[in-house]
Amino acid sequence: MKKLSKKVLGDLLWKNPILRMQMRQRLRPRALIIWGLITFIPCLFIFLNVYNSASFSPYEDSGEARILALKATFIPMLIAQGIILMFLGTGSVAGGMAEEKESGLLDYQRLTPMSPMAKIVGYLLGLPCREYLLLALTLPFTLISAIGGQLPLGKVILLYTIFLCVALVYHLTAMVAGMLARKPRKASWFARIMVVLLNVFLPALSQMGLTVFGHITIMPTLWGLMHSELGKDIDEEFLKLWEVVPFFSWELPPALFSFVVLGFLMVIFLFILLRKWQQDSNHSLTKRFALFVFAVLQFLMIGSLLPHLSKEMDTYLFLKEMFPLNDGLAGAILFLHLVLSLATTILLIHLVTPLRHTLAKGIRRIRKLNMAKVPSNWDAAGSLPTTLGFIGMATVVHILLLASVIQETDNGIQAQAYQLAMPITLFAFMAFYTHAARTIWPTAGFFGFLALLWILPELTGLTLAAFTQKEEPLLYFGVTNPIHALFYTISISFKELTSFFGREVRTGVGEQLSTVTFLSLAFHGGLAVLFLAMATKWKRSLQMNAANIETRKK
Amino acid sequence: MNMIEIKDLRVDYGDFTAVHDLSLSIDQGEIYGFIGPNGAGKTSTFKVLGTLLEPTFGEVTVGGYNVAEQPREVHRILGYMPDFPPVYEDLRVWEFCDLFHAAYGLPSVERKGRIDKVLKQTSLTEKRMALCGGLSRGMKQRLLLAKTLLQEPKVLILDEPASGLDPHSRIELREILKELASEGRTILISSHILTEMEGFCTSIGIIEQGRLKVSGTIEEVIRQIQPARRLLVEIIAPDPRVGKLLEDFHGVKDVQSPSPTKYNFQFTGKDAEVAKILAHLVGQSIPVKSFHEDRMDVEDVFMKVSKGEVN
Repeated sequence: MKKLSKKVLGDLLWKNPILRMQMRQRLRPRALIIWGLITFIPCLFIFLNVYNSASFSPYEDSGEARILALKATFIPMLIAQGIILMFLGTGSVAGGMAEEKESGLLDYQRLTPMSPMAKIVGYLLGLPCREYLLLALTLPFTLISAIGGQLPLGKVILLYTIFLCVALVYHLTAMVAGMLARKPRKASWFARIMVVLLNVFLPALSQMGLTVFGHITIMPTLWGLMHSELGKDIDEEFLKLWEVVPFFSWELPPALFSFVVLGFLMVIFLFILLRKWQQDSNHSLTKRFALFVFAVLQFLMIGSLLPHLSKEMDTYLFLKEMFPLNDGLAGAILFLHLVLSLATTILLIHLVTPLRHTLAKGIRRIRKLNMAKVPSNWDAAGSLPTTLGFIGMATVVHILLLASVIQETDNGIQAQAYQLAMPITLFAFMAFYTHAARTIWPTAGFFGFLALLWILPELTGLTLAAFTQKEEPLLYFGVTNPIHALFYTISISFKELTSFFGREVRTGVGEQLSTVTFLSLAFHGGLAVLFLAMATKWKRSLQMNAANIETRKK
Repeated sequence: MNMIEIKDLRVDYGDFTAVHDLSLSIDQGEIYGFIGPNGAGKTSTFKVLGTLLEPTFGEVTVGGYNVAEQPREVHRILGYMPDFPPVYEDLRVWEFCDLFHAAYGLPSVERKGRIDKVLKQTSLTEKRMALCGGLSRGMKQRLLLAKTLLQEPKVLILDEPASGLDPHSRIELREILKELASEGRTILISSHILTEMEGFCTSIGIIEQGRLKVSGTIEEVIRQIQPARRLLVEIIAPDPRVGKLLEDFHGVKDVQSPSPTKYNFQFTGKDAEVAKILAHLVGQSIPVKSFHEDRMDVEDVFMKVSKGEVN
């Protein structure tokens, strides 16, 4: 067993030819000395500057002044290390992968009998090897800061373990970008967008109750573990967000939760990379794996959202300040769940739905193999069952959240059962026509259609509202937009949410809201029926075409 | 034993079909020349053989291993050289070879010996310490060949290996390929330099618009395209008997005389009968200056096929 693990680790790490090759290329002494100086001198400058500034404290001449000054250097050094590993390192990985793909070098590596995992590890650790070495150059500053500042080493080590995991996730993101994009520049942009998404947009959702997304960065662990040690003057309410992670009825340590979330992301990225290593034309995810990803996301979402609805758990939430009554908070949480579920559904449908030529390829192949239909695990299989799976899972979670809302809301919900069913019905309609549109159109057509349908009428409504100084145009044109439409269908059951509408609308809110809610359902339901019919017809004609080709051949 | 077996291969890119129902088998030790214009489907076929491209359908095996189901087994016995020479610019020549020596899992005790051998074979010994980025296109091409030879593959797939090589290197390449074939290795090669293919290919196949038009040994292919051989006779002085003498011979057809001293004709007989014609003419005191066969070469075959003269 020991021998086997040594061999596996050897193949993945110290004997890994790709890792060795990248180290040879990127650690040539001359370039390394230059980069070392570029890194070391600014870090020394920052460290000494911060130390000197912090030394001028009321505790002058006491030993405590030096301790506090050394503590003060900890965060600036962490930021510098973040820039090295996460900014420069991510760029190296995305650029390196895309360059190798474009030049054809990646194909050489595909042709070697090394295991795909060894190839992935080779690139993952090899492409940013210079940045890892530069990071090592800055670690003495961190050590001085931690030991001299009397920071508990256990916590520092745990923090740096999470820091490395976050960096690995960013590098994996960049690798995926490099593998998927056809040009290095595109890959670089794709990686930057992904990093912004992972760093800024998704963590912002943690303020809305989806704690899970905050743990994609190092921030929760940093504040949760270190704030008391660093003696920083930070808002207590803000810190409450990071101290423990409320998940279902548990209160988890932030570091543990970060490991789980980062591990989940790593599994997804590794899966994509393995698929792409095996065959470049493979879909990024299999349909079954997409269902697994959706299920885990739903689990993480409900686990993060439920504690905010519970009266027994004292959680900090930005939304609680927005909605002092339970009614609005409950509605907002349900809304958030459906919007994120829809975004995930669209992304996964985009990844697993076969395009025209893949479908045609599948049809021709099953005819050749005398099979009745395309097996569900093939990339060429249609994505309707997977879409149904997404809808089913989102419905279960929505019902569970709704049950919790009904149980926990003070005055109960003043809504009919059919009104409560409207939001998830609308979600299902949107998922259906998204699936159908993706089946018919390739990437540009698909996203072009969604943009035209969801953004253009919204813009028209905004323009008319600006000219007429009335909110009705926005309200009615908003019917086509999924976020607005979902908001209407939820608002009808949770009156506090209607405070979001303008003054003029609010005067006759009951009547107007009912109208736009039903309009939303009719519009998106109609689209679902229309597009499903179009997709069915389109698929049938494709099958006929494939059959004609076979007949001509015979 | 068939080292490469392709049955009903079809490759689609979207709506475009690059390879149409291609079937082909290549025996061990053969050097098979794959000839076709740009965009004919050669590289797509090579990529399928190299497991780099999934076929729309069709059965493809290399050394008995199915390329779709056993790619790692295929990688162990296959050496693939693409039609353009990408190299790691910041690696030295020996480091480049060392990378692939390790990547193919070859014994580390043999490393130095094998790298030295392939560098010598490809005349790159002197460039051992040079950075790959500083090599000329021809040298990069040779380095790729060295890398391909490192693993001593049973099957070699070479896509335009001679492009970018100087005449001296081309002759060296030909010798290397002949030597490899004599060791029992199977080679599938594509090239635009058709006259070179004739020098060492044991078989050829001509592919056009994704369809294999003809395939077989060079002799077989020529016979397919030109069932009857054309013979040329030149005499010193005009003699009116020549035309009649030739026409009387069994198997002779289509006797033409472009000038009073020159004759050409089609003949369906074997070599021994060709000799009899010559002996007969000489026996009749015809002053024969030259007597030879107007033999098609690969280039003629290719031109004939690509003009649509062969289906």
